[in-house]
Amino acid sequence: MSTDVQTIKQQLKEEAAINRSHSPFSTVVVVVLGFLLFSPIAMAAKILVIGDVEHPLHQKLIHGLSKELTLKPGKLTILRPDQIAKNSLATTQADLIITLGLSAAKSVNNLNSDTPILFTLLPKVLADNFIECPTQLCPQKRGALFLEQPMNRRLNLIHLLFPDIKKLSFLYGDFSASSANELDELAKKAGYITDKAHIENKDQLSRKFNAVLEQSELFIALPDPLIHNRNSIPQLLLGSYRYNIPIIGFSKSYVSAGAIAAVFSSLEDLTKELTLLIQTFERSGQLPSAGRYPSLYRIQINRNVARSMNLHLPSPSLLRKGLLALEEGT
Amino acid sequence: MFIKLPTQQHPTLKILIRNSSKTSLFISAVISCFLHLTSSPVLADNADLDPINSYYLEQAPVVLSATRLSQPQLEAPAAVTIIDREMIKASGLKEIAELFLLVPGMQVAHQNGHYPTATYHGLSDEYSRRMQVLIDGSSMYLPTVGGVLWSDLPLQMEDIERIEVIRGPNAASFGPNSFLGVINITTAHASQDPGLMVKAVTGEKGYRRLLLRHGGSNGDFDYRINASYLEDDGFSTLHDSQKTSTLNGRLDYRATSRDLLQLNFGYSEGPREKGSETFPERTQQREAFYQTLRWEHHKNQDENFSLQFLYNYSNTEDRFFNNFGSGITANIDDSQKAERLDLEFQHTFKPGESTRLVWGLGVRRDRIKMPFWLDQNSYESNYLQRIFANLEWHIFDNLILNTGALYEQNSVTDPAWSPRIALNYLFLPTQSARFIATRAFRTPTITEKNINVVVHTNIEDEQLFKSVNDPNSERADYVEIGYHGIFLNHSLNADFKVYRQTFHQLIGKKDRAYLCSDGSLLYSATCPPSNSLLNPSGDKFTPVGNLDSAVNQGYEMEVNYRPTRRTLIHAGYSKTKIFSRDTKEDFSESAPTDTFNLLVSQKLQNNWQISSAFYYRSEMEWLLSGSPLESHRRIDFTLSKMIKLTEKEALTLSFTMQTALDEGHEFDSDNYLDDRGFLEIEYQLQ
Repeated sequence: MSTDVQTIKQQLKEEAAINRSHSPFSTVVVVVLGFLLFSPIAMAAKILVIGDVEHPLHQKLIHGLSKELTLKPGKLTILRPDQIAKNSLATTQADLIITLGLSAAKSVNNLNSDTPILFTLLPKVLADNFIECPTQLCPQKRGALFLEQPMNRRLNLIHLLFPDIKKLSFLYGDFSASSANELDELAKKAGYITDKAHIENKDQLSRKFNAVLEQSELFIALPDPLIHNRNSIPQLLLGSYRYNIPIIGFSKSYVSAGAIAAVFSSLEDLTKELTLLIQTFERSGQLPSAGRYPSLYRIQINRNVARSMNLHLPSPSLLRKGLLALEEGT
Repeated sequence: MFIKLPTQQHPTLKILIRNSSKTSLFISAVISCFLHLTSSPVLADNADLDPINSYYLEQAPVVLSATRLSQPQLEAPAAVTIIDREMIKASGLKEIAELFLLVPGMQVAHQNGHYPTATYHGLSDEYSRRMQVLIDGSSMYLPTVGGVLWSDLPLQMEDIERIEVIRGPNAASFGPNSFLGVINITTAHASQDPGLMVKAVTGEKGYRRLLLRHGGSNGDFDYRINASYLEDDGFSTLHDSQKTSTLNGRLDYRATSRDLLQLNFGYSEGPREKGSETFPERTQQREAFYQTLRWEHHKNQDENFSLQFLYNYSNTEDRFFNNFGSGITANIDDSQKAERLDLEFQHTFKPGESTRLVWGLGVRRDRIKMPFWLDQNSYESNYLQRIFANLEWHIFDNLILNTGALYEQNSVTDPAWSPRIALNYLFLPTQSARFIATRAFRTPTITEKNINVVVHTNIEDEQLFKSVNDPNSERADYVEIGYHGIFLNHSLNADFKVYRQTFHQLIGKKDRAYLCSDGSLLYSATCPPSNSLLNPSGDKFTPVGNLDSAVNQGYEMEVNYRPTRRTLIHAGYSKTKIFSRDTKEDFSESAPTDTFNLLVSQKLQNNWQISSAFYYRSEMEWLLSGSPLESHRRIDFTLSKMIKLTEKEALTLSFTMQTALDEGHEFDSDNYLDDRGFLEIEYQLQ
């Protein structure tokens, strides 16, 4: 393991220690969902979900989870990250802890309990730091469900959409550096020529974006808040359209905004995926210890942009079949 | 999978994981960037409640909306020439109006050094009244004399993202006056030109231009501001120099992820010399102001609303004393003021899986004051209301029906319907045939409707022009069969069309005549006993009215080839023949039988670019010019070199030479075409 990763883990450890030292007794707010009272096939496992109950995305996932899972009364408990230190009993009594987002993940990172933990709503680059136990003394099993799509899937989509394209470009920041490396390697392996640029601050965006477009036939958006945000997206989409270079987005809204296509997992997909993982855990006690990408996904195409660029693209259903075939083939 | 995370290369991560509270928000943002961008609008709106999260959580704004995208040429219900930034740069042209030399079938000329005019298939004098010109969807058509005063447009060539020239009438979509064709100019979004640009151009015949541009962003707000100064001596044989100062800009504001506001504004002013055989040499003072404010609301990818407000104002101060000789003198006030207020609402949505409907409403008030042309010192107005709808229906995957109509009523002519039907059949995914049938009207300008030129001399009142028989709208019926193909992995676009256009009730001027009280025109006799002469002085004058008809038919082809980002080849050819009775104005001679253009550009190593353009038109005569023009060939050559000073700074030097290959004149016999060279230096800091 690299020293840098150890440094991060050390920071996590220190932070956890600080959090513990500043966590005296306080009021506990526990939300118990017990509306599935008499289900004959109800799950027996006690599940503790740690997330921000006020966060609309967390709310939606928890709500979806409660619908997907058939739980006996009192089997699903929800705590906020800041309540963990005061509720060690809840963590030890649960059969499985599910964290939503980074705050939740951090709140249980140094948990002295053998309750297995499933980290969710994290991109791989962050989730890896949690499933690789920072203290090397983690008493519990750990697993993760990544937020984003595997890079191979995105490249497969590009291949199905534009079989003749050879030159790809992308921008990356510190946040997306590892994704960029992975994309670069896989793309080159697949026979593409890549052109990439590192963005250190937003002032560089326009200049470097135009520079990479010079040699490109297709631009791939890698999730990175420095590069792809509400304020930068108009510039990127308009710039690519000026040069007639499509952008492959990473979400439905990116496509709605003007990207040509994207493969993504919706919150509903992630909820179902999470449900499957919980069911598997209950059956076998196993978690995806190396983490896993979502297997449920969707494809979105912006027909207006495609038409305007005179591009005739396959239908999403056909693309989906193609992706499945390619993934099964590999 | 093991992923190396060197801390020094990942300060963001380091900060994220160390700073607990900030981290949550930041990473929440990233996560939400995924999820939010993948989730429902309701979810997005809720997430926006947190002001810090909203920076990341807000849904991506709809950028490439249907209104901002250019129509795919394979499916377009019209022949369209697209002039984009690459072509503008490669052409080396210095005036917006001259860019239309790149459009097959278009003619461009200068009535004087500061008055360029451009028309499609002739039928134009110095005021190109039968073409519609829009900037970002707003009509720039002058309510005074019609057409567009290109020199007054507070718009820089550098602002233009692309120009779509619709070759053929399209009143159903763009309203009356889209009679011969439509020039639709789209300016670049303010976010696309960040940083500072300084450009200086010097050329022969006293051409000097300085442009300062600054663009930037602040959160949801993008801006671009230009300040420019232009001076030009014009034709060596004319008194037609100009000095024009311009300030213009564009602001784009993302009010929410679904609501966009766009403000375009501009002001230009300066002296321009003028003079003719009839009137003395003098200097006009001109100013023009325009602003458009547009709000777009995107309900979703397929449905949006827009509301656009336009205010245009132009003023030319031109008062002079004229000595006609023989002791006859007059004070003449040829000043012109014009105002336009326009409000338009538009709604685009998909009523069904295979259909798209655009409909809208608009109201307008035009107001002009032209003492000399109307013989009155008060304003004349025209109030106009319009409603339009266009349906695009994909009957099959490869068969598209475009049909629509515009209904307009105004205070100067009878109400009129302008319908259109078009079918595009994609017999291959990259090749289509089209059929178009449409009817268009052109509303006479307030001046055409009310023209009454009377020179009040010290001796008597001399009637020069007068509208007769209450001029009504001109009408054009148009049929086109066309083909569009895309080849060589989308690098080659080819278009071909044959067309026939019949014009009715063309407004023109006749030989000087007497007008009798029953409306009849007499050329050599006196009125019948029951009528009396209406001319104040009993002399002949030039009547203006619906006096002629014409038929125009021909074919056109256009090719655009871009095998790489470094190479560009564009060519267009047009064959046109106009048949007309030519009662007075020589409509049949007003368009050249042949026009041809070729633009070739190549980017070389070390940031060099070389390009050349060739333009040809055969004989023609602009209406009322009285000057038949010989066929003319011109070749332009541009060489440029970009030097990177630092990572952020660049200097571009370019030289353009415009060479007339034939002796000839432009517009009329005094406008001698000459060679012209330009040297340009541009500094950019991003």
